[in-house]
Amino acid sequence: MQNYIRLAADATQQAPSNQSLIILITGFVVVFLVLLLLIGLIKLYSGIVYAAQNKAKAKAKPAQPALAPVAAEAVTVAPASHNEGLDLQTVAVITAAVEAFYGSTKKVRVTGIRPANTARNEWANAGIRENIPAMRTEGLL
Amino acid sequence: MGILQGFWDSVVGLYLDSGLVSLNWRNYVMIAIACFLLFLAIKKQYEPLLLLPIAFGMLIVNLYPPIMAAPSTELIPVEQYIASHGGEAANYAVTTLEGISYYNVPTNGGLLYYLYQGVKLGLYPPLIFLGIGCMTDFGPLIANPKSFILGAAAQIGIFFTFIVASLIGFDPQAAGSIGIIGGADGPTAIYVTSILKPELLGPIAVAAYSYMALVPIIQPPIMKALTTKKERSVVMEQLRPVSKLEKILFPIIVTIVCALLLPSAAPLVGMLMLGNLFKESGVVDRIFKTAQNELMNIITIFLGLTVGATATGDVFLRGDTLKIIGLGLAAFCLGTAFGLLFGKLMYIFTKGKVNPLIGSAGVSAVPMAARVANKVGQSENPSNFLLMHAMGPNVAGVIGSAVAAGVLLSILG
Repeated sequence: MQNYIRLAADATQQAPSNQSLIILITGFVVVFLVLLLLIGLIKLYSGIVYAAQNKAKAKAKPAQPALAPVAAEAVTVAPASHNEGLDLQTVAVITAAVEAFYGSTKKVRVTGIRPANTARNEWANAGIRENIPAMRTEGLL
Repeated sequence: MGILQGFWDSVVGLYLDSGLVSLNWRNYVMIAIACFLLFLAIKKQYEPLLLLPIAFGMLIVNLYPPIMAAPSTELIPVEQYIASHGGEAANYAVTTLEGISYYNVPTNGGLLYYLYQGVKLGLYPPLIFLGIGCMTDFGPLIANPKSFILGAAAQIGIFFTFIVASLIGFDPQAAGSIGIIGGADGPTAIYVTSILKPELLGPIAVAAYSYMALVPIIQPPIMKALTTKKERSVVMEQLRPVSKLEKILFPIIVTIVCALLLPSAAPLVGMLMLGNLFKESGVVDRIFKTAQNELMNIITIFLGLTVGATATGDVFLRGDTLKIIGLGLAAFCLGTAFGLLFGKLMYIFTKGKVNPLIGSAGVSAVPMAARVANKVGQSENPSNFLLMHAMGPNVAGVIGSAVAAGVLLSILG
């Protein structure tokens, strides 16, 4: 392609007034062609990688059931009325965050998840945030 | 009395050597401009990492021009030389003028002259690209490869500006160097200019980095003018996750394609992709960190300082500089506009699934242009997060401007 671009440039030496237009057209075409080619290649190899990884996952699936019950036990599923719209993964993430917040000294059981009380004003929230570390130090949490 | 005379002669000598005698009004104007740029870099924080060394380079070269002087030879009468060197003759070439023999004694160049060789030889911009590659996540582009179209569309401004610059009297090499400002990619602009028209490096670097810093001011009015409220409010679907293997293959494939088809773009694209491969492979943590931090910082200092040092009063204070700054702005605006227009086309073809605002991020200016697209989108719909979608065209723009640079270098170099 480099040689063709050079030919395009050489051709303009006889008609310098056309050089700008030739560079404009060459620029458009080459930039778009190269990037369109990259789009095609990325789609192609992404498809191949995706298919290969799916195949590998399908092969690995029979080994999974042994782990699944452990994961299910670790997450305490809360009553449905509080958890509508939440999948197990989200519940697990929130449970893990709560556990990390309280530390390993306390056993934590999440019994329900609901949206935060947005009616509480910012000053009240700030007060709660300030008090929690002190309550933890005194063993109240 | 002899001591006093000696002291006076020394003071006079110092005065005659000082800038107070040797500088002209152009130098003083440039010193004022450099101080203004330092103010913008420090107080306003406009691209301070580059604008600060550029402005300081500009300041110091106008205060002390020999700091950028090339090595030369000095003619010293042979007798005088021998007398001052304990009667020993030297092996320098001898020139005879009007019956007097002179030694051609070589003198060293200035500090910045030697550091500038990295720009002149095209070394620093690809090394900067190495660091940029380490910092870039091509995931959004791999997840949505159609972003490449927007990255390509935003380069159209480069070629239109090339035509305008040619029409108003710039030679093709200068026009190509000016047009590349529209790529909104500082290292690419410097790389192309250092090869095509090195004498324009100062104005072009200042224009390129100024417009990159002004992205949040320049782009939003164009974005609002070319899109409707409905288009700006489009919420795009979440991008698919990209596997590690895809991310590792990406830099290898892009390097092969670009270097095969457009060898002139290989130094820029190759280094960008090498940096990215350091990052994504995960096996060269030490060199990845060095390329991303220490190397990048060192090259940034050298590049900024020496590019700024090319902006001497004689070079910078010309009518052409104003034209370059105006044309650079036009190139940048055109790039933004074409990116948006192609974004609108994608909006139509996908039946409203693509927010055209992400097209404006096709000009490189990573990640500022993507942030601006996100911000303008959120001004219509605060719950709309376009950042990751805009990062696709944004990083595609980096590759696109390197390819456009390759085209210009192939034709005009």
